[in-house]
Amino acid sequence: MTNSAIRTLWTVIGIVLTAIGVVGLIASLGHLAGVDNTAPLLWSGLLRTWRDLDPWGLVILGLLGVLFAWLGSSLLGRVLRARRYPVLGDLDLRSVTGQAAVTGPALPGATRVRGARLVRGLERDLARDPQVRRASVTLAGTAPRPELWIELQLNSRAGLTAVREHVSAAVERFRTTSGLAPRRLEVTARIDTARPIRVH
Amino acid sequence: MRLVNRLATLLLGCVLLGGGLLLIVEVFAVALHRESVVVDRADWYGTLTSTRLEDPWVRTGVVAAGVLGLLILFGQLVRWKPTRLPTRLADGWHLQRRSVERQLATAANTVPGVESASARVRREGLGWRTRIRAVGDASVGSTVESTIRSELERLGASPDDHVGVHMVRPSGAARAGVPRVEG
Repeated sequence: MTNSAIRTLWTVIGIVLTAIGVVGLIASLGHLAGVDNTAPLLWSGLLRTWRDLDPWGLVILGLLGVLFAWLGSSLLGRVLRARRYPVLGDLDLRSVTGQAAVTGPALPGATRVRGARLVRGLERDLARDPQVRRASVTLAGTAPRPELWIELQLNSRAGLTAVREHVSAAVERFRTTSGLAPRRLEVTARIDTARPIRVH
Repeated sequence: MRLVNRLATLLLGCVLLGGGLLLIVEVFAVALHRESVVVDRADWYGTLTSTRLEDPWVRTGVVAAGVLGLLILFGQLVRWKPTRLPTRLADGWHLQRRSVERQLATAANTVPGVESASARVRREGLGWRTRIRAVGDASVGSTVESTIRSELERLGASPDDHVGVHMVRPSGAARAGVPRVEG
């Protein structure tokens, strides 16, 4: 789950809680039309409805329980799976080579390239430069519109212009090898600072 | 805030999962005419049918929910510190904010006469807004600024970006020139 999705979720929760607070307070003060503030929290109308529904009320409650449990487990799964970008899976080579392969004689079988392998290759290529300490790459999007998200860990003395040239050359090699032309390239660099040496 | 949000979401997921499972268990207990498992049904029924909407603790609870909602909303809608800063090197290139701040603080520390420095960088439009706080004599302020500017240029920031250097006078012992005794 991305940070912005979580932010939206909590904004909605905040709005709902605020609304409950405001409406509840108005009702509690007896200013909300149609709500009697001297009635108990389980008012007689609700109890009557519950008795009329019997035994379906229990079924509805049970289904609500299932819904809550499912929502909770899916939320946990989404948060714990630390995938920040949608990852492009394995590549069917026909989607890369394009029309030529489609119009040609239909050969049996399909060639698939593991997306993770391509990414690993680019990471190793990027890390060849001594200025780059570590590189991690995510291939996102779809085969016709691939996106590359690169995270670099740079040496504190790294010249960013030189690093940029190295990255563009590596991405160009990636394009030639995989046949994927990245539509979007996002690079986030982190500079590792060597601890300052202080002499007293 | 991002970490707090993530932890709160984990907690919410656990509460939803636990509450849902508890509800299912209690529904089965009622259907099979068994004793309550966790929630004492008769007690809850008694409380909920005798408590009125105007009771002070109901009002307190409702107001608390509203205040909590407002606090959550405030936390989400306020502008968060960016985790990365855009650079002018090329489209789509960013630098991690904390590492830039560390790098600038280290650069300011190398200036002779500066005892310790800290840096804060914020995004301002397309550029950066840098604030340096350094302990040292006010006369080295301009040297610190030029060092920071050259460092910023190396990192791909624009030379027009705002750089503010705030020099803090060193504490008494250092100002009087008394050598620090170590050990």
